[in-house]
Amino acid sequence: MLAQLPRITRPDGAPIRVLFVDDEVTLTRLVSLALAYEGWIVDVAHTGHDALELVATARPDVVVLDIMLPDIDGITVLRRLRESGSAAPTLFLTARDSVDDRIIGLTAGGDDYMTKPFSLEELVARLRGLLRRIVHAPAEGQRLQVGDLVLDERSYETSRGDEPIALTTTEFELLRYLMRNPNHVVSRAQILENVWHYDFAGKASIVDLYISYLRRKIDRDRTPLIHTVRGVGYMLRSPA
Amino acid sequence: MSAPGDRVRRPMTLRTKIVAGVAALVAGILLTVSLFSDIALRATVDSMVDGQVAASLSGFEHSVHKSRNNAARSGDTDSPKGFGKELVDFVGHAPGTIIAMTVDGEIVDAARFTDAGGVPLDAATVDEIESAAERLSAGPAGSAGSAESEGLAGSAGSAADGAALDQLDPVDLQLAEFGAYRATVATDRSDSLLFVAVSSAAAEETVVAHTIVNLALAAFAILAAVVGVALLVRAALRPLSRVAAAASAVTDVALDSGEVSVPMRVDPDDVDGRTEVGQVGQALELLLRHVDDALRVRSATDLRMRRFITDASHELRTPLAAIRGYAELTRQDSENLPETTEFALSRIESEANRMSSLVSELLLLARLDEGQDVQHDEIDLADLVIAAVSDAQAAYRDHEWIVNVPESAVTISGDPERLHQMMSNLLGNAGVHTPEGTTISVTVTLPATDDAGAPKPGLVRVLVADTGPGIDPELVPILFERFVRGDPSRGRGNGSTGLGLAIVRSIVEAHAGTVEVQWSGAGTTFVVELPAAERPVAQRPVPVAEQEPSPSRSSSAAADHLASDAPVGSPPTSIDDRSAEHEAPVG
Repeated sequence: MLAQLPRITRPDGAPIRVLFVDDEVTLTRLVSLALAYEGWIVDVAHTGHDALELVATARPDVVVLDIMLPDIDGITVLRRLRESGSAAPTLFLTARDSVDDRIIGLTAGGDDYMTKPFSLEELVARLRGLLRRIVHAPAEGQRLQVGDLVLDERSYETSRGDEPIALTTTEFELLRYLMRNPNHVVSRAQILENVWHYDFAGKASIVDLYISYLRRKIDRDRTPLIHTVRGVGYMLRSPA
Repeated sequence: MSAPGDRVRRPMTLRTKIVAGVAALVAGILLTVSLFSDIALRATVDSMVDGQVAASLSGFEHSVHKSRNNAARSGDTDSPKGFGKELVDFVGHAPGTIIAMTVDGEIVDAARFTDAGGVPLDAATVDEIESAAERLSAGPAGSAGSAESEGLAGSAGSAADGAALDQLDPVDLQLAEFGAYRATVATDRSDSLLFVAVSSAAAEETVVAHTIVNLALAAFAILAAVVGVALLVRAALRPLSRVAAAASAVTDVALDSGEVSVPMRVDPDDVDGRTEVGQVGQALELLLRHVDDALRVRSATDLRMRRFITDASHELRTPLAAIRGYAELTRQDSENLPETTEFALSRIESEANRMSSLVSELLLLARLDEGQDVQHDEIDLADLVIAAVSDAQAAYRDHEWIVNVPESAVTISGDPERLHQMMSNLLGNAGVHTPEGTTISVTVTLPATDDAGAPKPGLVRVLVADTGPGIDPELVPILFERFVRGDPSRGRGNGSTGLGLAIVRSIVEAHAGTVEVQWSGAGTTFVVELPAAERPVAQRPVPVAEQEPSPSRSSSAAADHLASDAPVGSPPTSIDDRSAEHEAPVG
């Protein structure tokens, strides 16, 4: 359950700061309470303008952003946030969950996407996933290469051939996991455990979904590197 | 109008009716006109011939008087005629005219005139004339019984004024050798008669020729009228054909599915209300517009309704998240809570979860209804089916699961998440509604085959067959409707929303496929058919690296593992142990 996982902090030991942007006071209170269990500090904004102001002063490690806000929508907030130089990973939390909404959210630079109603447990798990790059300092990082696909764990950069590929945090983590196990079949369960760090209650299809996102960015119109191993899972393999 | 027996008769088209009617009318008029013109012509010709008869008779009388006077002077009166001159020597008669004199009913002399003058008559003709003259002479006793016309009698009478003789109106006479004649007799002396006959053959020929010309003209006129009217009617009815074509084109539009407007319109040239055809076109145009408006209103209502469902579902999500979250949060302190409170909280949580999935499913259905929200990735359906079966196997451990898939990739274009949900709903449905120990087999075939085994190219078929007790036959027609529950007693309690199969159908239809259920007595089979990807992608199962013993080297191996209840994802962790507790597939 909550608070049973080891606590995470900033590399310097300071508590994690979360900016939670939602116009529903009930929800912001709830999430503040839940994240306080994790020992995190939660800054709450109820409008897009408040959020942008808070980013400057509070310098959050991770942002949870509702797409429908009373003044400016979450996607615009994220764009301005990136323009102002903040690289904090962002999770969209919204009541809208059509494929289109999800693609808009992810292509707008969001790193993950959750729909209401959500489980607090899952929210925390996903945030922990997004925070890994802050928590685990780049020290352990290295450069991974499979075929012409290159992933740099320190700079968080990915490229295939000479072409840089922009990945969201989740996609990056998934690809990193696959690249750490080249030419090995990894099951959906293994992927869930190692990439999402969370029990998604048999929702193996989320793996398929993100694999399909990855394939679009990496394999489209190229020699495929990601292969489906029927009945088992996936394998990243350099072309023979 | 028509008797039932007439129904088999092919109805005449309007064009045929009009053309036939005009032809009959024209023919009737022309024939009547020709008939009357013939009658008039005949009367004119007859009167001309009768005039000749009268003229010849008066010339004959004159010649007879003259000959008698000459004979009296010369004393040559031995002849029965009273004069010696032969009739052939008489002059002043038109060619073809026959004259004769009878004494006591016997022909005493006769002559026929030609271009070269008079010639004697042969005996047969003489006999004919004799009997004709006798008939004619009998006439005066019957007081002009043979007179056909007062006018003719009058003109004949005036022509004979100079003579003291009675003259009878001419009558028709048919001579064996010389044809048609008009003949008459006049009293000469008490015992003798003068007979004159004028040939009417030329007149007859004129009348016949005239009749033939008339009939030919009439036939031509009828033909011309038929052709002309047919062309005119066709031209006049052409807009009507266009209007009919416009109307029938509308019937080809599938107005029941998605299409919200009538795309066809009547040609603007065909809606002029001042013409009859235009009125029909106008009426149709109005009808189409009316239907179009009605459709638009309905589809707008439909859209509003769906939007309402979508919005309502969205609005419900935030409070649901709060309910769920607070319950979850409160339960963190479970050691401080009384047991009943903890139970109540867990119920709140699980009901909030159920409501969440209900809201999600309603939203999904509303979106699928709008025909949006489906991604199109190339996926191996067999792989997806194996994954779904392995999830289901974990959730329903007491069922026997068998999976049969082809060796090669079964590539379709679709939304992996949705198709996964579709399979999980179908398998969950089979799991929920069959008793423990039931065998559920899932078969993927490419291409699909129909019930007789014939291949259906371009289609992929997924069969989910169980050996369970089957479905209530009354439910079969409504099985894929929303909120239909096969077994009310097992319904709501286990998290079933009653939307599972409705979602199956919506997802399958969003992928342009079909789903149906078959009940064979030995179990229930759900048949899903989906279009195969246009070009089969060489996404064959990858041979697995050697260090990892794999169950997936062939599909039958995977099937064996499933059937023997071994976890399919054999590498270290099994996904499936956990899914059993959480994912309660809907039914």
